[in-house]
Amino acid sequence: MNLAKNWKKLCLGSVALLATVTLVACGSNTSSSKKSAGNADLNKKQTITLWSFTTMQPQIDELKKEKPNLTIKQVVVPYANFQTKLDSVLGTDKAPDMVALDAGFVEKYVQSGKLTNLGDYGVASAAKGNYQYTLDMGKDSKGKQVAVSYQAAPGAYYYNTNVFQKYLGIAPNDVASAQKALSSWDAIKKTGETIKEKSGGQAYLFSSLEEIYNPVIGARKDGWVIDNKLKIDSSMTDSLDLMKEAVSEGWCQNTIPQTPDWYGGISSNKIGAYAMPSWGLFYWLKNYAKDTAGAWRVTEGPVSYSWGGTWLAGVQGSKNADAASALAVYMGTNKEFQTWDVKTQNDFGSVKAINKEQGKDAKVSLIGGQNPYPVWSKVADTINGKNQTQYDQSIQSIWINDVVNPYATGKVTKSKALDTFKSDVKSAYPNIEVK
Amino acid sequence: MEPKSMSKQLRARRTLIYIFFGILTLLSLIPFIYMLVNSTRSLVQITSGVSLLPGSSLAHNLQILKGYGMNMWQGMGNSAFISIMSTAISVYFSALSAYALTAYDFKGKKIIYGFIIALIMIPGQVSMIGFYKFMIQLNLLDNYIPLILPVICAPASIFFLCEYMSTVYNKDYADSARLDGASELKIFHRIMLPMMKPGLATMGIFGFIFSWNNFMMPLILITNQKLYTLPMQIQVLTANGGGGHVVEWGAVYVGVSIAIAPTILAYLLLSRFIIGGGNAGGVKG
Amino acid sequence: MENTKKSVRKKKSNFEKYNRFGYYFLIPFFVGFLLFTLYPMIYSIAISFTSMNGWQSFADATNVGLQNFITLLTSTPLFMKALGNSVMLWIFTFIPQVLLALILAAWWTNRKLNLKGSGFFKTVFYLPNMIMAASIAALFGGIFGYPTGLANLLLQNLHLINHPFNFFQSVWGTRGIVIFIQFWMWYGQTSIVYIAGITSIDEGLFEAARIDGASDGQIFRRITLPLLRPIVLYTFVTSFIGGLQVFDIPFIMTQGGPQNGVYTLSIFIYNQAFAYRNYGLASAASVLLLIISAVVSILMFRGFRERVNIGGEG
Repeated sequence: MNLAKNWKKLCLGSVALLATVTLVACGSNTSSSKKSAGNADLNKKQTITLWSFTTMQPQIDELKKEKPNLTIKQVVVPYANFQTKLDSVLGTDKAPDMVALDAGFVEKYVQSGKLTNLGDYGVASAAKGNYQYTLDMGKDSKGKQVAVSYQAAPGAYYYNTNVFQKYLGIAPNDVASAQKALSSWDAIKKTGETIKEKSGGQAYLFSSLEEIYNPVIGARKDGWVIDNKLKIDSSMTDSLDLMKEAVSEGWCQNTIPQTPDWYGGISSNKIGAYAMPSWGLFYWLKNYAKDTAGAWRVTEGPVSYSWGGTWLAGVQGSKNADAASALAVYMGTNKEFQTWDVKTQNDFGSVKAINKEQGKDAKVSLIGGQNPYPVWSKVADTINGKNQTQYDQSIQSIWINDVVNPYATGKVTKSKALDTFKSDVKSAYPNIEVK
Repeated sequence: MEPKSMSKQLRARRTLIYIFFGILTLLSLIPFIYMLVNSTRSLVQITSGVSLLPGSSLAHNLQILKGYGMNMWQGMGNSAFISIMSTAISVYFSALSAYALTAYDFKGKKIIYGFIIALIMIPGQVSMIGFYKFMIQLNLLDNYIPLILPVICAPASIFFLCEYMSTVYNKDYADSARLDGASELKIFHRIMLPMMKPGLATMGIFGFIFSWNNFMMPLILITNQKLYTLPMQIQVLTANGGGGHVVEWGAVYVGVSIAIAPTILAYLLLSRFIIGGGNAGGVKG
Repeated sequence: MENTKKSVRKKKSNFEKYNRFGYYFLIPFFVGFLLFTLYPMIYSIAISFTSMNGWQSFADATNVGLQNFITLLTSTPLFMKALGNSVMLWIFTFIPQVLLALILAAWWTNRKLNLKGSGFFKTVFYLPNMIMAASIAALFGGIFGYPTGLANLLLQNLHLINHPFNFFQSVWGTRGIVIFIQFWMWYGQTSIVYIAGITSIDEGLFEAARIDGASDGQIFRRITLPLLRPIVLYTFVTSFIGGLQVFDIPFIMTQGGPQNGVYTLSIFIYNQAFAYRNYGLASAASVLLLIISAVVSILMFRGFRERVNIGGEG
């Protein structure tokens, strides 16, 4: 707590200095920082309304301990309706002070111009130790940091050593060899074919195509829209053929992700690996591993990507925007809070040092005592956080429905699928140039 | 006519019909049973496969439901209030309007009738976007008025009741009541409404169930959790997203099962009026 | 009777005096209509002539005249596909529904058959309509799951197929499931409507016909059906309008896929409005929906409407 106070004092101090020196040039910016000084003090008695798509009660309870004068009223709006409701009140006086934004749609709000500039609340220095990709995702097109993440979510492959040993001859604790087998898309293809062959078609490397397209999409160099033009990153079109082979040659079972059949594969010893985010370990793998608990291991796979994570932001013009913004910065960067979150909530925090510290000697029995943190940290450091756009959620969904699934199952030709994709994106976003 | 073979034929026919009903019953009950069974299974069990065998997680699921801090009784009370009010208003005003079109003759009646029918053709979506932006403007968020009052205008109900009334209405009743000095409104209340019970009950059931299960508009208009209806509370349970917070389907199914009970109750209550044909024939002889 | 002339005159004057109540009683309806339907509708229609999208408010939106409509009809294949889907799904859903509902209604109101337990059965058949769409979608999603859903297991056990069938990756597989669910959710309701209609028919007509030796089938065809016409018309129109608005089931199960096979008009409008936030286009699509509904309904009315009139005669 003292650390945060000191940081703030330092920031405000330097801003005040700057203000006195460059009075004429930087007028309004600095005066707003000065104004916010009082209200942004989290130790003052005040109330913040927070809208979230999932309950954050544990975090709120912890914050009550750390900032006892602060009352946080949370309103949980179901994920499916969250954006609709938020959109209808943003900019009105019914808007909340603070919002929790899921990775799937964070970019939309970041680019909306309706969030406060966290730079005014000291985020630049406070978040120096945060993962770059989380910061990139929270920056708008002008480079302003308007959202900060309090949980990062690097993706990785979780593989079943029973399957890898039986069909690939890889010893359970030889993670290096497993990584080699999954180190590139070519290697993955070979691994898949081998598993299929050796098991007589009974076992698969992957349960669904999501195991391929999530990493590919997350690791793209270019986002969907650049300079207002639709861009299909070359890695996406390359992956299409890989996915088609995966299905036709039978090393991907092609279940629908996150359905009973997908979950069922976790305990069946018939699926080689799953692509999951860090939190997948503690929810999906844990709940569905059953007898296979302890037989799993984690490794980075061919590319770095993220899946999920929550960003916090203050809403411009709301009643208590200042305190909300300060709280967002606090939750995303404060040592005490982050440590508590990582320790007790099984979250992969957003501060590198804290994850390193907490993950030093972690042993997770689900993955046979392996420490996942080095893998996660390695991935999180190299994720490209600049390939996000505010159109992502929709365009990605159109990509999967119009191109991935039909093409992989041989129902349409590649050119037809891409044509349908382009025309559907065009009708969704008439302002984007589509060629 | 040979009575014996007739009744044999009849019995055979009846048996076949009952068998057919049995199949339909099974078909209709299965999802219901599935819902109840899932209330007793844990999340992991539910997402691992479909089963009709009950599990042992009912208490656990109820715990989760309580843990979400939602007062199910309050939610049910809110739902009941909204649904009953809106059903009553819808049925009453639709009957009133249908009566106006059946019992009276006035200039432009045909045009108005045609217009009302035309209104049936308006899909909800056309006014949906405008409606909720309008309600935001009127500052009627967190308010039950936009959920109840709009049903005053229910063209489909009016149409149905008009057609129904045309087979049931007889001017003689009204005229004799007028001779006795009854006001028009009284005639409507005392004579017409009772005669239309099956029709009213039908519209009542549909209206109630529609209002009860309708959560799209309420979800957009209402944020204050104390005002949440039961289906909305259940919707909140399906909150999920990044960070690994999963949907507790077991608790959801418990909620859904509880939520369905009043609709069945309403249905049973109101359907009595439909089964009895009553004085549907109006004035006879 | 000597008083006939007088009583006729009296009746006539009574008639005229009270007719204005027709207007009075319709006032609440029109007030409700103006406030809750007309104004929002006009607002929506106004939006359809603009390119309002994203965070824009109505005041900031630019007027584009008929451009939205032209775009939808000429360069939006998804819109045409959605329209086709909605109509196609409706036809396949409604026809079996009406047939089954009529049969059920006929059986239940048949005094001769005197079926027992009708209350129980009616409640049961109506149950599917009372359950929230989300639960139903989840249930069927599980039953037709690939590869180990109930349906696949059953079909393989019965040796009807050798490998599990991926229903939700098959356009007609998914369509079949959606059609079945829609049919099964609504046949109970439709039959209840028909029963209400039949019970309002004068019992005496049936008696007379039976005494004359008419069979059940003849009674049904010659007496029940014709008298039931307006009610059947009602279910036709409301079902069509409802059919164009089918949203919950296909949206929750597959978001309209696979390959937009069950991408209905409502899903199109919903996505345009809430996912892509193209309010102008969404409103234009709903106006088109309105026009189509109106045209088809009018045609249906023309086809049915010989005998139905309002007050006065019959």
